[in-house]
Amino acid sequence: MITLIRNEFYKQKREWSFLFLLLLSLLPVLTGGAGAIFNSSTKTLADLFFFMNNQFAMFFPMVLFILVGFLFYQEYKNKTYINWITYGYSKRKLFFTKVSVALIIGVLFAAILLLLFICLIFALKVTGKVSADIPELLTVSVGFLLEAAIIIPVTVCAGAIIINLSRNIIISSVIGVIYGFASCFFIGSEIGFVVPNGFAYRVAMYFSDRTSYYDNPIRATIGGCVISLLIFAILLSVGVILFTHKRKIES
Amino acid sequence: MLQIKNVNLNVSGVALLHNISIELELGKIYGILGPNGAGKTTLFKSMLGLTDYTGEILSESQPVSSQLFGSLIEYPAFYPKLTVAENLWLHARYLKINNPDIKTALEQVNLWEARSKLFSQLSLGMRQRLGIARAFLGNVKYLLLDEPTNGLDPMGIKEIRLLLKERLKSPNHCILVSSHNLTEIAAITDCLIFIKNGRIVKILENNYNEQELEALYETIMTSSKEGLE
Repeated sequence: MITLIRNEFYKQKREWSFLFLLLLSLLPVLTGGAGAIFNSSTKTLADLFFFMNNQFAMFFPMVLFILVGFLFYQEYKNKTYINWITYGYSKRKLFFTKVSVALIIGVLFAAILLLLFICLIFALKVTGKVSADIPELLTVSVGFLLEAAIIIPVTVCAGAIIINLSRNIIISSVIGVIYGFASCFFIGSEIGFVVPNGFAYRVAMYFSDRTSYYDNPIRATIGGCVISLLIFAILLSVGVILFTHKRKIES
Repeated sequence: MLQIKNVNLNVSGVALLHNISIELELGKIYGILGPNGAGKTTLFKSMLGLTDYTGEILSESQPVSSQLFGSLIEYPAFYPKLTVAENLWLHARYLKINNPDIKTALEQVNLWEARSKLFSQLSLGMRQRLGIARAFLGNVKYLLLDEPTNGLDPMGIKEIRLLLKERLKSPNHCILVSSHNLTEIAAITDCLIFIKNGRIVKILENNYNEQELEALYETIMTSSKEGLE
């Protein structure tokens, strides 16, 4: 499996599309940072995190959809799919390899985003444009990491299903954009915890502003965790079944 | 020896392969001849385990593994942003070949000088030759080359012909070449397999020149008789 994962990374050599996806991932901090720098008023850390997190919750699922779509589409577009599946590895293993690589890159992107956010906060603190202390920054970081831990696996599995059904990166990207917007509709709802991305957003916000969490926190927390896990398991299973399904003729 | 026994493949009620039975020996080059849609590529795909066929495909009486095959099916497919050498190196890693002899593989197909070129920068002829180099890399026994001269100019076709016949034919390999090009098939193969509507209709030793083969092909393909003679 390690060799297969290494091979996947090797294939990405000179693929500049990843840089574009990374820039897209960093947009929330870049725009938030620019706003804070050019705005004369002093902001709180909670304000900046709120701005960044709103955009992150919408953009990042799109990035993940395109990312996992790109990884699978590479085999379809280059027509290397036939070679790839005849090396003697099970299709299940090949599927998990692509998904693992998408997860690793997704985590890496989220970590870079968080680091950039932390750097931005420090820079703004030095210039007196934000009021924040380290414990507060650590607390929102924990919230952000929990959010990423929910969004990344669920979205990657959903994206893997779409690309393997459509074998078309345009369709996959369009559905990714719709998915990103659609999951935001549930953010404000009291029963929005049934949608993993909506739940993840509220979890992150809890660490910066506790009043923004659900009115019935126990039901939402337990329900959100269980449903997120369940949806992840279902999406992963559907993805594996779709990919490993024996076709009459592979093409 | 590769044994194909009673291989059948039906898709949506249509028989794409019908009772294919044949034995293929090491050290020989076999030419698979047939019109478009006859089942040549489907037969190759079945050998690689890429179809849901019924029947048996055995190597030395054991179920065959796709790892025993080197193949160039339909199109020389590689990663365009990797170089020639990187593409072969990646292939070797998938096959778990330690210290692959990429230099020899590329020299055999006259691509060593182009090893640092990106795959996307290669001409079609170079791509086909790289596809053949890849097919031969590692411990493969059976080589499946589906239309290896497709789209090549006469010089490119000649290069592939010489490559197969003079450099790559060996007692350790069994090479199957499908083609529409009768000149090419007549020049390089030891044995001819005629396939029509998913059936093998004739198997012959290749003692023919191009003109004779053309006449024979026409006779066989226009004959209404189905099944092996």
